[in-house]
Amino acid sequence: MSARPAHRLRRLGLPLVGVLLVAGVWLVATDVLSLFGPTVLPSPIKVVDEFLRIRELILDHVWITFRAGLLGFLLAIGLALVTGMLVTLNQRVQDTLMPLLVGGNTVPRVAVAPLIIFYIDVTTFASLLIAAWVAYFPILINVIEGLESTSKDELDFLSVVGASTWQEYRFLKIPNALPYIFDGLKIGIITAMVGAIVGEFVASSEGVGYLALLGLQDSNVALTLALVFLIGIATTLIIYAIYLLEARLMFWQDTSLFSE
Amino acid sequence: MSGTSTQSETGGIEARAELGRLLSRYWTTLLIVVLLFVGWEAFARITPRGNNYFPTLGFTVEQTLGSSDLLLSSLQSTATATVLAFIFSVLLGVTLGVVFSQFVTVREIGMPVLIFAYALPPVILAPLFLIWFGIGLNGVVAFGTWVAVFPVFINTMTGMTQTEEEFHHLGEIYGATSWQMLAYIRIWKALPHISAGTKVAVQSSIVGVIVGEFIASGSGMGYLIVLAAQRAQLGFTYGTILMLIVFTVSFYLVVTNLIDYITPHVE
Amino acid sequence: MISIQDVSKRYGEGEEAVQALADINVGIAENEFISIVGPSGCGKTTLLHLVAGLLDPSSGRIKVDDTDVQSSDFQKSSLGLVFQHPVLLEWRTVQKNIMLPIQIMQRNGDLEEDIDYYRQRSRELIDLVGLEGFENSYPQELSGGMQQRVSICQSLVYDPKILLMDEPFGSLDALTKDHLNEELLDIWRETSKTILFITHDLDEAVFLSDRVLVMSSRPGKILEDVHVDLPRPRTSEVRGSEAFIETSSHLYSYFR
Repeated sequence: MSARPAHRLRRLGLPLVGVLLVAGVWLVATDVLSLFGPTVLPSPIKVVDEFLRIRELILDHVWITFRAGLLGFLLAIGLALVTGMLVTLNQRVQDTLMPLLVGGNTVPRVAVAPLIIFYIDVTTFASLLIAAWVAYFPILINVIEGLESTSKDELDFLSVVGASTWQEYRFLKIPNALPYIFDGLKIGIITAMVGAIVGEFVASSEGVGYLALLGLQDSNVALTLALVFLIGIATTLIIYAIYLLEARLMFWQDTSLFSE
Repeated sequence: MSGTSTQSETGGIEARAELGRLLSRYWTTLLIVVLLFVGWEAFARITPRGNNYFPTLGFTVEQTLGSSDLLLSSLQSTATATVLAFIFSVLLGVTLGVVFSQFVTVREIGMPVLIFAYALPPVILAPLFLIWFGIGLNGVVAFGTWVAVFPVFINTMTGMTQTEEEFHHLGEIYGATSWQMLAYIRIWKALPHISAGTKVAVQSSIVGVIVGEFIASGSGMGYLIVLAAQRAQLGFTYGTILMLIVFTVSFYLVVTNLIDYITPHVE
Repeated sequence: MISIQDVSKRYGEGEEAVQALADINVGIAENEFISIVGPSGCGKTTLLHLVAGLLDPSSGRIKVDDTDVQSSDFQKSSLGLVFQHPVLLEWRTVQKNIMLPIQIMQRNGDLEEDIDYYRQRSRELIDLVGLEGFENSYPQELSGGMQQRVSICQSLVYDPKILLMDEPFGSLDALTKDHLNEELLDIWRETSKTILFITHDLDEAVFLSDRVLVMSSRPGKILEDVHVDLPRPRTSEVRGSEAFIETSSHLYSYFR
């Protein structure tokens, strides 16, 4: 940001005001005004207390989920990049497979979570696979869209100078695909975490999903909220990291945190 | 023209021609689908562990039909929840999107909260919504609404804030008030974005409902899939999943075509 | 040097077929500057892409020095193609963009000299078109006219015998266009290339060319091969001369 100091203050200040405002309203509504019962919305202080009380336990489980989600995400990226490039090599193949990929992206992929858990006994591995399965499709579609985004003139130019298929990908298609791929990554990490947590909901033996279900049983809103914040912060950090990588790699463009 | 019989004939001929066109375009895709089913059957016959580990197509159909009552009532439950969640999410999402886009300060204040809410994997809130709204249809619908609200809201905001400068100048020259700009120009310019967001909301509402049903021990297809897998009734499990896919695709096609019909298509 | 014999191009089959070009017969000698003019959609770009080898003709052949442009013997480095909008990669500097064809051709063994020769050549071309100092700039930092100049350098760096240009100055303002016209003639004079140039601007065609091919549309055919009888070198004064006005009026008469 090369904005003037006053403008920069406003840009950082207002969001900060927003966070403080939300926290403040929450505090007032619960502790001061007692608008909500503790099983509906506990005070933020209670949430922090709950977290501190069992923090090692919570952090252990958060780490289990986070690791499963992240590894699933990375697996999905690898597969999506490879299959994306293979699919775009041949127009016929691409046209044949696209409806299936779009269809796969449309249906609720989490619905097969119970099935995967049935087949795979190891819970963490099952969560990882569900995360990868869920994240694969949106990332793949973005990869393909990106590789297809090269203009005809650019392709023609490369054709006139005799470029091979690999040279086409290396000099043109892959760099052009980067913005799309990064969009896919941001969606992908969120989706992967969804997959991991849903896996834990169903298998219910470890991880944030398991803890959240315990919270549900006891109507322990404080615990559930603590989990929400922890996972939220973890995912936000990863998305921020992706955004930083994107800004670095695509130096020729202005990137925003999320483009839609 | 000699009346209704000719018209329905022509309609029938056109429909057949359209079907023919679709088939010639997508026959390779259909071929792959057929091959997948063939592969399924082959794999099912080869695996030694039998139908309760990997069911043949025949067994799947058989076991599913055997509990068709249960399946249909679950489908009804899920469908109701999905449609409700979808409608609420669109109404809420568009309203919030319009409001947020009108007031720049509100937008900038709410930004970090928004980013956090966007990054948060929505399913972690499912238990919370069930505590708040109860285990049952209410909770499931509420959660489905929450998941689906975001694509609608974000797309509405993007669409509303994207009116080009020229239109603002035009508005100024005509002396249009903020609300007139909103009603006559900005909402219409935002429509393509809003419709795109709504299409995503279709998928999101289903995901929200299914996940809600996973953990709310009640009814619906999500619950059914968990139950069937737990009881190692694999044929029924696969059958239910396939039914869910059919429902999702149908719902998606209906809503998408409806949206395209209503809104002017600008791409 | 370029011979286009009985070339036609048809898209689609049966009833829905579109005849883009029909019975095109043109011979172009070495070092000639030929313009192609015609209404939108009359197949000018199709013809250019056929010569470039990007498309197959439905019938007929196109040969450069007796080698069919479609054959695998044809040297990719003998043709250059400049598009209407600059085809520059945003993540490469001006010089790296100009070196892109070299990078590709070198790997495929299409080049005669070594890389340093072409690097030096790219610098000379940058100077030639008046862009000294911009070697390390990115395309986004340049104006439309400057970007188009870079495109031209990109097509010249491997020294093709033939330069194909598809309305290269069409998206520029009139002043820049006139300026680039004169620059193009300078380059043409200094490098003795054969140029095939598509334009909408009839005056531009007359100013630049030895011959102007007038095309009709649907199907695209050559209505007339107009010889431009103006002395060279051509300066801006020639635009007002009687011969110029006569020739350009003649061209305009086709489009009334």
